[in-house]
Amino acid sequence: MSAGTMAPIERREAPAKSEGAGAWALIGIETKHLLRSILIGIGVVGAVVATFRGSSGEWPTLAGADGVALRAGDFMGAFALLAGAWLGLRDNRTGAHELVGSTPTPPGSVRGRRLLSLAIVSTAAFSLVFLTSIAYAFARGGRGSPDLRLLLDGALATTLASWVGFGIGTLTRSIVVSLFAAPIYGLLSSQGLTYQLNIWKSHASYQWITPSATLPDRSPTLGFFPDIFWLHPLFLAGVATFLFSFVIVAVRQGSIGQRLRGPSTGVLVLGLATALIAGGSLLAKPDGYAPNGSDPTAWVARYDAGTALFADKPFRFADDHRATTCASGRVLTACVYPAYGPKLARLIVTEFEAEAELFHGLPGVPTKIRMVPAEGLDCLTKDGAMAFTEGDIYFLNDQFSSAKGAFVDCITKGSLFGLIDTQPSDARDAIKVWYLLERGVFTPAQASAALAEPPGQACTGPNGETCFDVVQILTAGSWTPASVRAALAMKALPVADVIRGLRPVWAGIRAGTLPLERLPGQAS
Amino acid sequence: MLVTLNGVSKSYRSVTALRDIDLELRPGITGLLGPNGAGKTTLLRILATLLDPSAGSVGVDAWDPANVRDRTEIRRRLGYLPQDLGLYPRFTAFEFVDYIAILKELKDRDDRHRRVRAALESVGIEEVAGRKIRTLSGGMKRRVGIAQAIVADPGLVLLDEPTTGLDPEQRIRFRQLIAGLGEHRTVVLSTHLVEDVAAVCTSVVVLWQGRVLFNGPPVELRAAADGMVWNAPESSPTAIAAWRTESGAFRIIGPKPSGDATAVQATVEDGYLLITSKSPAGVR
Amino acid sequence: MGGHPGWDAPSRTASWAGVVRLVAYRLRPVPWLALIGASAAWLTLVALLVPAQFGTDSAYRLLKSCSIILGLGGAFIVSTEIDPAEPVLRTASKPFWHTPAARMAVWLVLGTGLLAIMVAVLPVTALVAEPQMLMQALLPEFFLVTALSFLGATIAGSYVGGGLSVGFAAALFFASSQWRRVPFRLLDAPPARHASNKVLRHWYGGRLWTLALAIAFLTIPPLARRALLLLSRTEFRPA
Repeated sequence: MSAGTMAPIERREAPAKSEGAGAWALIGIETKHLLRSILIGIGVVGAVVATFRGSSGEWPTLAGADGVALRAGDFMGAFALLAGAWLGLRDNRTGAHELVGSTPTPPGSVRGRRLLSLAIVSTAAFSLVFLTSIAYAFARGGRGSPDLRLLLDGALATTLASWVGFGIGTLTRSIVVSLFAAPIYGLLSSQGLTYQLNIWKSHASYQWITPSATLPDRSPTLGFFPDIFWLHPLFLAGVATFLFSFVIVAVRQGSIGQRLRGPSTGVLVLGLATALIAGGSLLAKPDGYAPNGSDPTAWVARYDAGTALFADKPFRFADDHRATTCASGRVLTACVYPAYGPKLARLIVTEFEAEAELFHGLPGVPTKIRMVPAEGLDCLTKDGAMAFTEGDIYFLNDQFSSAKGAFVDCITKGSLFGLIDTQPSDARDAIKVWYLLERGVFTPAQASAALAEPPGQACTGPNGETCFDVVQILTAGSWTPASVRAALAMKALPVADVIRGLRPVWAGIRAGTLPLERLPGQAS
Repeated sequence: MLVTLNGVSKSYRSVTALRDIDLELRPGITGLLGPNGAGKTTLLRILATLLDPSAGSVGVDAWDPANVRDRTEIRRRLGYLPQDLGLYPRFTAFEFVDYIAILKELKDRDDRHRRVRAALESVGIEEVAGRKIRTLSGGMKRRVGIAQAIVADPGLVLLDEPTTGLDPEQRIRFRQLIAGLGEHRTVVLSTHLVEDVAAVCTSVVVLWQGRVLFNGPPVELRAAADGMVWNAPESSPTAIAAWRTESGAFRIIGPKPSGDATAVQATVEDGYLLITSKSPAGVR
Repeated sequence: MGGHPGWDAPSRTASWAGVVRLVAYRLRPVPWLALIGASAAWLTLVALLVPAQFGTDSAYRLLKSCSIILGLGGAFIVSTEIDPAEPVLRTASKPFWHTPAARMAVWLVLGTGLLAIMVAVLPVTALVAEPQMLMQALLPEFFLVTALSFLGATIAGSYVGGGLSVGFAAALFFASSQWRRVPFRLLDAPPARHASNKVLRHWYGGRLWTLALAIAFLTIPPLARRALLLLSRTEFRPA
């Protein structure tokens, strides 16, 4: 064929190149399909079920429901990873990689838009879980203000999971690796596992640098101890930025030097730097605080507290005047923070009223229970009220109601809360056994019969759990037969006589110095 | 668009797919014929800027696909239908063509959707545009592939086995479509179906074991078999190719067979068979 | 068919070489190397993490999770991704079910072997029970999730089906942890060395229930398919 006789070639103008509208159109299409993904759907449903389950064991507050949603994000993250990996695998699995590769849109740009669509869907999915948790808590009577930083944190964690999946799918092109990666990622990023790790036995708080960080101790009024919810989202954002840029740089053709040219490399370095700085700061944060005063800024890191827990003058909280939601009974008033609602105050009164009535009139027995921001070193506050923390709410649900036992522990020792007596005292133990007899936990006949059994017999339930039967209470603890006999003697007296007899010797009971024979009803 | 290949070769490890290809492809429809393994798909993938040649150079107008910027310019003007067509099964036909249109930088939504609808209509699948691709038949999927190749009004259209899975009516419609495309564009049509080439192509390139065996208009390919095609009641041992026709007689390509044989008009297919046979008479 | 002049009847005499070749072809489409590699990597990581755990509960939860994740290999026994030629294979004279049966047998043996190796290298400390008890703790979950993944993959493909099985397994675990009456105790740790007979009976009962559930997931779909076939007398192929 001769070219000389042909007419001049008509140059066909290509469509004008402009960013914006096309990019968002592509993101819109990918987002639409991802929202219909059954994998995302399973993740959302599973996370919502996990929030319901997580909420059921907690007192409803909006400031707690946000944390429940964040914990459910582990499940969401595994399925977000699966969805991301599917998107990364799609072109190769369907054979469309040639078609997509023959278009003028650079491969990095295509992947960047897909990553953005994953981010949109992940954020929407976690937001749905978050809002469901808040709504559920609200419906159960919870109040207060959720911490929206946890919404940001959870959205970032879910987005990161989806991008990790996209990276795995794109780079490995293996459905085996992608499928295995999802539950492994969910497990390794879950707070439960990392909190248990003790690999280096150091003070480095590695539980904060996982995608799904362990929730720190929290006060509904004072916030988190430590507060990681600026640093942790920043850490996640840094890792996500690094991953975003890495996927785009990795897909470029050419040598490593050629690939690293361009703004993506700068963003990659920025992401890495952000992650390292924020991660390092998180590692340096303590795992918790031991309160040693009313000022939270002066609290000591828990691993540094050491023997401070056993100080001679244990710390007592002053009234912060924030526990303003109160309920009153015959002898007891309970005040909680408003976020917990009046229902909790009424429940506390119901729970402790009988004990407060039983010991009413003895010196130092509290007539008020007040919520405090964290566990103090003393179960009583400076004004003589009994301290009640958020964690104590769980004890209200116990069948045996160990909260009641804690009340009795507190008024008999007046010092350490729920720990082993530093000064064992038979008289103190006798008071406790007498209380259990009065409450009907066991009968005098059962107590007498248990005295005849040898001590130290362990009791194991049908499923291997440790059970609390009369024998266990009386013999597996440190209580002596003498204290049980003393309690039985007091049980024979009217309650009013016992209280009258205890009044003059109560200080000795609290100090742990009173001999058994000085208790009411004892044979001289 | 003018596409030139100068001394293009492509090797994969020990296999040489293309050897020293010199071609000039002008506006019009160029048919690419050849047996399996001849190098047709490799050639198309090089033209589609998906592969770099091992040797030689390629030019598309003034652009060189070896240059990254030029490659992007070429892709802006390219429509490509690969042989192994990969589609997203959960997308609808409309969505998939729209998706590719976006990747081809058609930014304006209304204009893009108009083009997508026109492309789907031109291949006759406008009624199933809203159906998911996984629910479409093989032929319909192929037509989705053709639609995405033409949606952005490309100057260079590369079609690898475009009529696979199409029924005869659709193939005729496809020929009309291609004929219209080829008026102002460079179209390269790789196919096994010689009748498609004969019907629409203005030039034919025959590849054989990675080399160009023939490059010219279909009439010249047909003419290569003039005087070498016969009708006979029986096959001939000296025939280059022979097969029974619907009348029961044998169509024989090669020297005149002995016995009662009549010369018949050669076709493009006869010329193709002749030149690709191992007979010395078939090599140009 | 056959019997006409010129019909070259193929020989259908079985031979060991032919059987071996057939089994090899049946097994080949499964990505064994990827499965073994991914499984071995995961179990190695678990073996490193277990001794670092605080407390028995945490260690057992981790061990249980490893057998559950290992079970995802069941998603690669039979699916549209693994056997795109399934319509052709089903038209052959030899029953198609031989293929998933052979692959499943190989995978169960491989998985059991990998778990046994991991258990053998774990340090026997006060945190964990004897190897035999550990295997009893891990194997039923492995079988159950394998069966679930297999079922999911035959319905929705390896990837989505595997994902579905992860969700369903999570639901089963949730149920067994929430309600004591659920008979398959998927999270229960092995009993102490000198546990009472009642405790041991409860433990083994839970194990048997888990195994029964695994067998149910494996056998119900083909039985249901066969029943439908008999009832309808029309060819039924799963999606």
